[in-house]
Amino acid sequence: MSENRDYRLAAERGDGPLLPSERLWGFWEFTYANAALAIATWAFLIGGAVGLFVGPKEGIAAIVIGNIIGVVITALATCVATGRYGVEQFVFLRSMFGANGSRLVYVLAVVFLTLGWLAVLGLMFGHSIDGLQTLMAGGEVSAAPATGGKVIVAACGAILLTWFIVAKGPTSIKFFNMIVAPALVVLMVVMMALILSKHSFSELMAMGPLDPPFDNKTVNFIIAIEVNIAAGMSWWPYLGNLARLTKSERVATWPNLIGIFGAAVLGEIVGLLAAVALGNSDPTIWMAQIGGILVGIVALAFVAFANITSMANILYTSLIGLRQVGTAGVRAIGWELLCFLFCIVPLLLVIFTPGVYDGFFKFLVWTSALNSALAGIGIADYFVLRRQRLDLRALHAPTTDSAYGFWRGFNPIGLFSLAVGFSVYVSVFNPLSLAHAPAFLYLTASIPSCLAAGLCHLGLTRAFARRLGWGAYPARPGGRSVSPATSR
Amino acid sequence: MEDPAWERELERRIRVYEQMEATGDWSGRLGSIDYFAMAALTVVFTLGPWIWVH
Repeated sequence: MSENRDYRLAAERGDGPLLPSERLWGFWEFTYANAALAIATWAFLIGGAVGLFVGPKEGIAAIVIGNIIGVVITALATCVATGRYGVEQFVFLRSMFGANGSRLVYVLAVVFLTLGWLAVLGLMFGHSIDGLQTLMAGGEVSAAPATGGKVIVAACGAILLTWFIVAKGPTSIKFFNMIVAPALVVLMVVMMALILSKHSFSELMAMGPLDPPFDNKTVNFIIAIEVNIAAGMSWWPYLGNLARLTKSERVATWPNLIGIFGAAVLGEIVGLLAAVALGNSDPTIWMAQIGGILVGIVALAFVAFANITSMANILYTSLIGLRQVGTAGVRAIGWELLCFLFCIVPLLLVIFTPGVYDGFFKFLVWTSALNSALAGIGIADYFVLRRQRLDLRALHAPTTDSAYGFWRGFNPIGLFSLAVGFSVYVSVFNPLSLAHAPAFLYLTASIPSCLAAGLCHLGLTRAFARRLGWGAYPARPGGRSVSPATSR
Repeated sequence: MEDPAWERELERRIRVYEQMEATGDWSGRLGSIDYFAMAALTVVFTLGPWIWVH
């Protein structure tokens, strides 16, 4: 009995596939888990960022369009396979990048993303505490620069507090999650009610953007859509490992369209309307102004608390993944020390580049350059090349014996396609300068990047992979692959 | 992982899925209706807001 439990725990950690009978979540459980993940303070930040480019009417449209595209593509790329086979997401990625290639993708997609979000949310915590202190002292919160000393000290404190919580283990994180998600929904409803008590819906819809970067409204609208596709695709590193806990492929996929899509859209719309109505995209500023001192103090205190929870969630998830994909050297590092090592870069970012908070949407859009290409490769590889069939033995075999060993554990085709997708993205749209090619107005940047990476992977794999003996791709649609690991 | 007991357990788990694959016993598998519905939903949520603002 105890041995069975150990095996199940090992499978839950990603060492092996979870069996259908071990899966925990049905449709509504997964929907709730998804919604709890999406209902976080970053929804307010993204909604506020949308308000910089477009007014509420176009903003709501951009939020819906961007999120549906991002979430559907990401769910197809990650949830269908992990939901069917119960495999850990970065183990699944071995079928398209090789074991070492999967490690590289982990560092690029998860580590960088988590480090950036830890810094942004830490700074948001700092702003909340700064605003809270000002309100309690009877002052008025103004749009203070992110470089303020108090903000930076509080942000560092938030990161260190996150380290302390995560180092203690997952129990406290689960407890906080159960409180924060429903409370954030209540906060959003209250905020929405306060906004609508001051402005009618038609007044809100007639408002303009806060700081549009271009005179051309279409360009601003497409940038707003792109920010939201990036938000939808930013779930790429996390969704697969949640989906593998669901009872079936269908349960792994559909709840994303209710939980992630629905919750993110709700949170972002509240952030957008509040930002435009109160004239500031920073949630820690408009929350302090929206409903007087008492509401401001409660809202800011809660946002500070919710930020710590979100930070603990992403740090914990990333560390679990890191131990899974890491080498023996990484696994040998103690949990507390590994947590602390992960926190060093966010601390440095907070101290030396606090401006990352104000321009956080640029960081978010950069991540989409990678996530969109990864999604394109994932869909092309799993649905088209492998016809939805994975060799579980090859996924879990050592690189030298595995049919998914490719070249020294790297699939050069997959990694080249990733580089192609990334290059297409930045040549269509530069997230830093917002410069864009004419095609951006018709296609956005994530969609061509996703298509380019997928088609490149498809074409090169069909042309070369079988000839080189890489990846055990089936010879014809629906054909069984024969791999060294399978045939042993 | 070099643990022989875990290797046996892993093999057992893999065989469960191979059995399901051999018999086609995939309950809750996404079918063409699911994919069609997902595509339709995406089109509705993309074109609907687009038409609303234009």
